[in-house]
This record gives sequence, C-alpha cells and structure tokens, in this order.
Amino acid sequence: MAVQAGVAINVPFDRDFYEQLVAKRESFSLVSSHEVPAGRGYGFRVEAGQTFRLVQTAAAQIIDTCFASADDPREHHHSGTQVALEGTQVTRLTRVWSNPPWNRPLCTCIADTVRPAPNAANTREHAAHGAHCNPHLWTLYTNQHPRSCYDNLRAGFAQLGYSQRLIHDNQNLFQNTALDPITSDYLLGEGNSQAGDYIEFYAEIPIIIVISICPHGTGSIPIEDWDGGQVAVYPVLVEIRDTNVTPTPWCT
Amino acid sequence: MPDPALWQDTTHLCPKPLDLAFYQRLVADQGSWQARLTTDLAGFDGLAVELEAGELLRLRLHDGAQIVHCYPLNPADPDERYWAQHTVTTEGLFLTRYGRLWGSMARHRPMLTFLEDTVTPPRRDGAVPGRHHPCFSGSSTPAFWRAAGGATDVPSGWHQMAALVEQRGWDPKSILDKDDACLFQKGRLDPHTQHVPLLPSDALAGDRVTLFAEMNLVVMLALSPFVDGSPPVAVPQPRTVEVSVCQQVAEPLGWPYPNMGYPDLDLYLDNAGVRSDEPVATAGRES
Repeated sequence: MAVQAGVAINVPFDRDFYEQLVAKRESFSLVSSHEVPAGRGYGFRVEAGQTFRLVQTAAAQIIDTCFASADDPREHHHSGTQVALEGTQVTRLTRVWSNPPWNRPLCTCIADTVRPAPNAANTREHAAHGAHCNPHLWTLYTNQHPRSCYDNLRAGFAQLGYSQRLIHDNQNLFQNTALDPITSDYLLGEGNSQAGDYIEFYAEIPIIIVISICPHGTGSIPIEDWDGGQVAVYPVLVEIRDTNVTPTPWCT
Repeated sequence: MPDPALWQDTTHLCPKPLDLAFYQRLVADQGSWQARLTTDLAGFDGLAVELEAGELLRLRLHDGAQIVHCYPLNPADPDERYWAQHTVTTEGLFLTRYGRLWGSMARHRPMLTFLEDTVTPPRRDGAVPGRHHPCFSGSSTPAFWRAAGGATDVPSGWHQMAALVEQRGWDPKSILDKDDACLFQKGRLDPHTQHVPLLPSDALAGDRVTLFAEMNLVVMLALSPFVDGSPPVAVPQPRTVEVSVCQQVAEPLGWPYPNMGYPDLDLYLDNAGVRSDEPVATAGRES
C-alpha cells in the first residue's frame, strides 16, 4: 500500500527577502543586551524590523518563550497553526505563527547555531509546542513548588503590565525533542547547545516576548528525580538589534 | 503520592495517575448507558453541547469519515479550557481509549476521558502507521484552510466555533486561542521532518468515540470542511455526525486524586475563584 502524502499546502514565503536580510547581519546594530538570571522570567518588547537573539551563556538551557503582538497581545503564538504550516520544530527560516483570526507570522527565525547530534529518534532543538512546566507538575512529581515556567512567564508578563491570562502556548527553545512516530510520545533528549549558541528572530510586527529560564535546566534529568540544588540552571542573554530592514506586510 | 497502582506503565513525558479500573468498569457497563439527547450535526455551523459531570458525549459517524473539531470549556469560567499542548506531554499526540483531554491553568485537571474509540487503521499502513484523533493539528485554522486552497466562503472549523463562543457573549480571541482536538482525523508523524500531514481518515460510517465528562462542560463541536481529510473541493459536503449525550453513568473521581501533591491554587485564583487578572507575579516567586 502506498503511503499517502497528505493534503498539500502552499504558504507564500519570500525566501529571497530573508536571504538578503541574513546577508546583512554584520550591519545589524546592537540596541540592548540583558542577562536574565538563572531560573527567572523576563519580558521585553521588540519593534518591527528588529531582531532578538537568545544566547546560551554557559551550557544547554531550555528557554520557554512566549510571542505576542505588542498592539494586541491576545494575538500570540499558536502551536496548531505553527505545526500545521511549519512542522513541530523551529530552525532558520521557520516563521512563528499567531492564532486565529489573525493567523499570520509574528516573527521569523533567521539564525540557529545549535548543531544537534544525529540520533535515532531524530530529536533536535527548539520545539514549536509542548507548553510549559507548571506548579501541578512540580508538586505531583516532587512535592515541591519552585519557580516553574508558568510562574516565570507570569512574572515576565507582569513586567510588561499584563496578567497571567495572557500566558499562552509557548515554544520550547533549546529543548531537544521529537515526537515518537510510532507511539506519538513527546521525547526529550540531552541538550546539544553550548555556550555562545543562539537563536535569533526577526520581528514582522511589533511584538512582546516573555521568556522563562526553565528550572528543569536542559531537561535531561527526569523531573521526578529533580532536586533544586542539583539541577544546573544557567542565565541567558537577550540581545536586541536594529536591522534597518522593514518587514513586508502580511496579506492573506 | 497516590496509589502506585494508578501510575500506568507509560513512556509519556508527563504521566499522571489514572484509575484505569474505574473507566474499565464504566465501559463494561455500557449496556446501561441511556441517551438523554440525540441530534445530528450536519452543516458547517457547529454545535455547542452542554454536559453535566459524569455524562457521556458520543459522536457517531452517520455517512462516513468526517473530522470533528472538539473544544471543551468550563461554562462557569471559560478561562478554563482545553489545553492541547499539555495534553500532548501527558497523552502523546494521538488520543484513543482512556486518553484524557486536560484543561488549562490554574486548575489544570481532566475535562474529558475517552471511553470508546472504534476507528481502526488498516493493517498495512506504511512503516510508520497513521493514527487518529490528534490532540491538536491546526487543521481548524483559517490559515491552514487557505494554505490548502480552501474556498474563502467556507467557514473553517475555528470560525464555526468562534460563532458559537460569541453567541455566549464570550470573546473568541481570548477563549479560542488554544488548539482543538481533531476527532476522526488521521495523521502520520514523519520521523525525519516531524511534520504531521493531514491524511484521509480510515473511519467508516458507524464508527464512534465516546467521552466521559470529568466536570460540567460546554463542548464546542465543528465539522471540518476537509470532511474526511481530503484536499479541499470547491463546495465541500459535510457528512452527518450523530451527537448523543448519555445520562450520568458515574460520579467523576475528581481531581486531584487522594494523597496527590497539588499546588496552592490561591496563588493563582482571585476571590471569585477564577484566574486572577492582576498583572502581578506569583507570590513568593517573583523574578
């Protein structure tokens, strides 16, 4: 029996635009640089045409990342659209899609320096889905309630004047994952990123970004074996740059 | 910790205890299930179904395979709604019997539990077999419908559910911001690209799923204009789905289970018992 290919989709993508943008990266000018302490949350704004870069400072560290429109943060990253149009993983030239009714790109990944080690499960860094750890998981598995990603994201949104109700389904950047093709289970591998590795996104519209430095570190220790004093968690550097390149408006 | 016997042998990333014997007893007693409501969902206009805790929602394909988008909400607090992304970590991408659909923060509890799933993929289905009922897929979104070449005058699954949400005075931009479960939909995880293409469903007329309501719910249902998962046609013809609600078959077990670690919800809920809308960090966990 032939394997069915599935419904074909066609999403316009001006690859030349991004190739030219990436070619100009040496001319990008640094606007700000901020180190987020290990295990904490942070919220910041990025203007259309700017980039933001999340840099690993010491070793592999998962960063749960929320993306929302600065004009109306009810518009935010939408995993369903993301997975349907781009797949479950994020890397260079992957766009980050928002929820209906907007359903448009919020930003586009223009750099991803992580080099995943080949493995049978085909895990690699940067999952487009997977939610965030939360107090339920921690109390269930450890009877402890550290600053979970939910709490960190809540703190980051509060820094921008917003409540926990705007926390949405994030991306799990620097998390080494795949879905098992047979069981469909969510697989988690040892992180491949190293100090200095980064992922960078180009903002298509004005956006707010809220990140959580996950208390699970690189995710390699089963959560039930987690002990706050033993899991290594590292700071992350956030850098914003001007590109002087105006995004192309999205039209449906 | 809850009874160790409630931890099923699983490879899921975030397993949670499940009293499997409870649900097996419900299934064994299905001869006593009695429908209190039966109606047909036959158009691209959606249907909102009210369920009391302990009741059953049954969807039966009348004319053949038809994808049904399913989005449960707490009618008393629609901020509590289906959380597909966390469901994946606990159940895997594809749902089947005894899989649970989990709700969002702050309560984060089971909303619906699969009791029946009669859809059966063919024996020869490629090296990576296709499966049905993804927790989410994005196939209800207008963007995917457009990308597949769907006609602009045909409402996507999201638009159908948005109209139902608006009828209740709720804001679809806030309430329908998460993904829906795609019942009877078939997908196959490409092991190399990690894409999950939409495939024609293997479901047949008469196939059904039955879900147990773990709490009071309103469930938004919408027929996909992809019908069985085939490429869009100019004028898609929906296939009728029989929707039944069966009277309460048991008191839900409730959540959390006894002796289970559970967070202090007062850190997240306001005096009205809903998720606080104050722009503040969790007390004691500020950044």
